[in-house]
Amino acid sequence: MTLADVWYWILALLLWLYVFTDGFDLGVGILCLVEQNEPRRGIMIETVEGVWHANQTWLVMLGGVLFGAFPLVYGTVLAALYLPAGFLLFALMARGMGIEYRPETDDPRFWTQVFGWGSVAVTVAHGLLLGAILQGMSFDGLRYLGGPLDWLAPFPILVAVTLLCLYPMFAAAWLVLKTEGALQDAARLWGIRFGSAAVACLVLLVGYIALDGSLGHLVGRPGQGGLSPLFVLLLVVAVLNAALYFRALGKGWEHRPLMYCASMLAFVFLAFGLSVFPLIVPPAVTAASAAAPDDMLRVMLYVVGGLMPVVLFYNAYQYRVFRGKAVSGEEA
Amino acid sequence: MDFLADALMLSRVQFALTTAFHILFPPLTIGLAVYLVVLEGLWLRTGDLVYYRQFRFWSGLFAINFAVGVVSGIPLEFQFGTNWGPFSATVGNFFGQVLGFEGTMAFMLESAFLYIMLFGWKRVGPRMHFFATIMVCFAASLSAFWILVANSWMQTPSGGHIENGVFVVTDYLAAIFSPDLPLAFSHMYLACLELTAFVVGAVSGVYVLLGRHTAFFLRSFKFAAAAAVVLAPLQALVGDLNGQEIGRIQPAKVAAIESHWDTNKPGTGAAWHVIAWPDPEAERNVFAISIPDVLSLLITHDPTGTVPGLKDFPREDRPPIVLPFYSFRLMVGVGTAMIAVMAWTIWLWRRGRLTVERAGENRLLCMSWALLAPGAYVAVIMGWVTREVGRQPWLAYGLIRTENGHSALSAGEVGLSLAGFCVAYTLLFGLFIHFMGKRLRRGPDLDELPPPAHRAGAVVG
Repeated sequence: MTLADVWYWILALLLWLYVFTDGFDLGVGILCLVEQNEPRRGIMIETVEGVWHANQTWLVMLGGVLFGAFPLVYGTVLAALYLPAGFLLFALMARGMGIEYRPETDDPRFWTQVFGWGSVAVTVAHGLLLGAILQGMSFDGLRYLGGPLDWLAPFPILVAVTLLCLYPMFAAAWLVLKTEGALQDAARLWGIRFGSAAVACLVLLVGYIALDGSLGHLVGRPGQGGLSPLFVLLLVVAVLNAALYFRALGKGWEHRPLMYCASMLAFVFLAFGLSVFPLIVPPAVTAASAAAPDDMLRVMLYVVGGLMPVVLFYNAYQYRVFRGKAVSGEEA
Repeated sequence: MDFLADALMLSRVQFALTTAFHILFPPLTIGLAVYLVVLEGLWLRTGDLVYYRQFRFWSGLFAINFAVGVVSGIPLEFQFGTNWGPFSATVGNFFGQVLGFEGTMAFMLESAFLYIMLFGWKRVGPRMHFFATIMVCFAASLSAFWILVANSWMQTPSGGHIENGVFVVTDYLAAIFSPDLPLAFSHMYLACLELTAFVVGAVSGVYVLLGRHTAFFLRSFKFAAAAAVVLAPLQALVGDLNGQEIGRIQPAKVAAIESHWDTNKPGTGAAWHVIAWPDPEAERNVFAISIPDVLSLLITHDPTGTVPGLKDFPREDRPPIVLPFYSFRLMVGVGTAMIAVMAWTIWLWRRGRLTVERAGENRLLCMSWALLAPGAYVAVIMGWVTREVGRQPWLAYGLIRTENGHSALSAGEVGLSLAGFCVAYTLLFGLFIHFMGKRLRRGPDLDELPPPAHRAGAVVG
């Protein structure tokens, strides 16, 4: 394994951490639009208040690491996806303001809406960006060969819809863990609804890829239709995890739904990651061709790699400090 | 309005606007974090409840500032990719790495411990809480360090060379500790502390003036004044050293800041223009009010020291002049006013005028502090304008030109995002003022008691 490969998988790990953790707090935002009772929304938001910021920080780390390890990707992809990337930044601002300023007012309804719609917007932006990169981008050196609106295509839109179901699915599992009583019951119901929709979207997505030969690079069959056996195997495991998630919800378990969400996402990542590897931006940019020189990657590996366990440790500590059920109106 | 059709100019305006807005918030959180460590340390040592309540009051302001700082800061990191793609591709090996270090080491640490500091009083013990506060403070300062590493490297790129169109680092320490870094970081860090002292002083001064919670705020006012005694003169000293250093490493910037066209001949001194209006076409000043020899004295500490003039540099390598010239003078003006008000405050303090009974009488003093708080923000922004505009026409000085570093975007795309930022930041600023005002009007909670676990040994009163 080369250093560029190592960094490819570190990036995948950071992306997984980001999508899972920020995913469930964005999902809480989306669910705030489903739940109509304001005090209940307050409890829902309270569950993520202490951790959403650190969750979002994985994105900042992801950006920094991508910038340092694969400067060519950073300098080309973001410019090529200027409009959705900009939209993501504005959406992140709206979401952040919604959650930060909500406790400062006496009538939080407005800020709950800002938080909710901001979360929807962030999720849509995630989907469009991810979908646009996965469907393939062509470059001639630093020059992007596509158009400024290539991200507005069926595949990215389908990815966005999938995330709009997936994040609330994670959020429901999180709320089952962090709440009790009627709200917990509601969360179980959301979990089943959004979870079913998410699995359906995922299957639809894979069907779309299998039928559209131009997306073959995503499933280990560049230029052809169909799916590779490894991809199918990993995806089946992912769906199996989803089944375990539903079972855990039904049994009334509190920790396991969230765990199965994490492992389901991990297998989806593995399925796509192993199939796309070593491409970092399909269909042509490989990790090796976009990576910084080896010496630089090595230094960065010592620094960031050495710190990762520490970062994970104090993140875990933070979750421990804010463990237990959320109680309305708790402050300090 | 030609620049509206020019994607490069729009990208520059967008970066300038977003950084100028962002820089309003981190300096106060960096400085307040230090103040919070001091307050909590004093609370743990003395058990005096006023320190605890001070902590709670100022940490509330910290939280509002931190929120806007983060929300406005994330777009900055990503703008290097969206708007400055070729720059990112060329120097990302090092520059991006530094931003990655900032995220990994500092920002994550701050995010994780901030909420323990703000909301964890009931959930952790006193020692752990103090540790969280220290971590927030450490991380905020570390963040500033890495950002200044990245920026200083743009001023004096070192430690490597361009190979096949990509910057390759050969000496890491030299790249991180580029010649500009030590003084630039000191200058900025002091600016953060000084700005905080003046904001704390201004808020406290207004409360004292209004006669609300006088004893409570007189204490923070004296803290601010005592800090200013050290910080304001020290900042002037570091600023002076910085000026000399920039004279050595970026002479074109100094020439632009001072609108200095002709290199002074050996044996004569260069004059310092108090006010001037440059005419870059004719390579002279349309008018100038000047003091002989002072420029040589300032830059070289020798009345006849040689200061290179703008004519020594090819036209295409000269930075703009009007902006650095006036922004620099504004910054220095505010800094000088700060020293004056600090000295005045100390004089009154020594004469026994700063007591709970008499403090409210010092109306003019309190108002001066209140004015210097926005002044401090102006000074910080003006300092950055001087620094960054003076670096033009380079992105990384001598390495990559601004015109070669921007992404091939259409003016429409950049115009759209720029308009978006204008709207979003106006809204953000309005909200920030609204919620800060609300918090300030509510004032401190003077009956607040710490959770039982923290109360051992507290002086209840």
